[in-house]
Amino acid sequence: MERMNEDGQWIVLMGFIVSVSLFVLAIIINQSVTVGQTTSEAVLEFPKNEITEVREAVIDIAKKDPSSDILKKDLYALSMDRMNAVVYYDITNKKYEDDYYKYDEILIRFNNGVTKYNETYWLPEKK
Amino acid sequence: MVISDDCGQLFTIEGLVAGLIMLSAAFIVADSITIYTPGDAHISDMQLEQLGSDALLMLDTANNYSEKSTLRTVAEMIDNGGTDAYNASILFKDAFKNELARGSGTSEIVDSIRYNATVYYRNTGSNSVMSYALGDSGTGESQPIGSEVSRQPEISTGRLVLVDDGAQNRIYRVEVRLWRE
Repeated sequence: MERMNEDGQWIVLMGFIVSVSLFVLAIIINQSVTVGQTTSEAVLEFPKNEITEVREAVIDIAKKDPSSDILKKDLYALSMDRMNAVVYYDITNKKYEDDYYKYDEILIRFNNGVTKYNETYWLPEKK
Repeated sequence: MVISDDCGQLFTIEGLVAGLIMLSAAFIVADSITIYTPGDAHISDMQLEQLGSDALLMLDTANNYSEKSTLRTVAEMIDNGGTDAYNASILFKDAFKNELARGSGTSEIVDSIRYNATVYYRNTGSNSVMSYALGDSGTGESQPIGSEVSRQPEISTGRLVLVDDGAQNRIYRVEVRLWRE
């Protein structure tokens, strides 16, 4: 070992750098694959379709039969039983008016224990 | 081993170490790319839910303003009961199958989708929710069973349909449960 040659130190150093950077890249890739899981789990958990469903139903009710007690009970029972969600709605006819339109005020509340959704919507109707 | 010169020993050790480091680095990189994560399963669940929801939305959209949507027709036929309810199942199955096939262009994926459709409504007397089995994909097994698939799919999506049964308006919920085989 006395006749140690000092040539090629740079090559050795570069070798180390390349190896270490490969390790770092591998760790980053390992981390990034778990991102898809978290995202899709969050998407699945969020009741997007349920909220859309309830919204469309309430707006349909407001257009057709806003004062119906049967429809209200139907919606409450179905959303509780099938979506595990507490739903509340309230429709005020002709809350506001202008020259061309009258607006029904629709109040929607949706709560499934994880996601709470509140909305107030003015449904315009041509006079 | 006749040559008793010991120069180059360090180079040999270096070479061995560098080779090991590079091999293990390459192994970890290759391993982490090909790994199957649980996230992949959720992504296809997500797509399945969207596909089912889109199909139901299409069925709930009327061709024009004076017409009723397919889903509403189905719900009203079930409300009538008797042979009408039976015909409603056939109408729904045909229409829903078409919509699923339209959802993704590849027939191979569509062929692997199984569904089970049920209509839910409230019984005015007891105030409890009743169900009517609308039909399934009809490939022998009507329900996925936990022992046969590794994970019980919980992908269900539905639509609330407003129905006029002559005397009064009612709400029905058409619900489909989707899974891949």
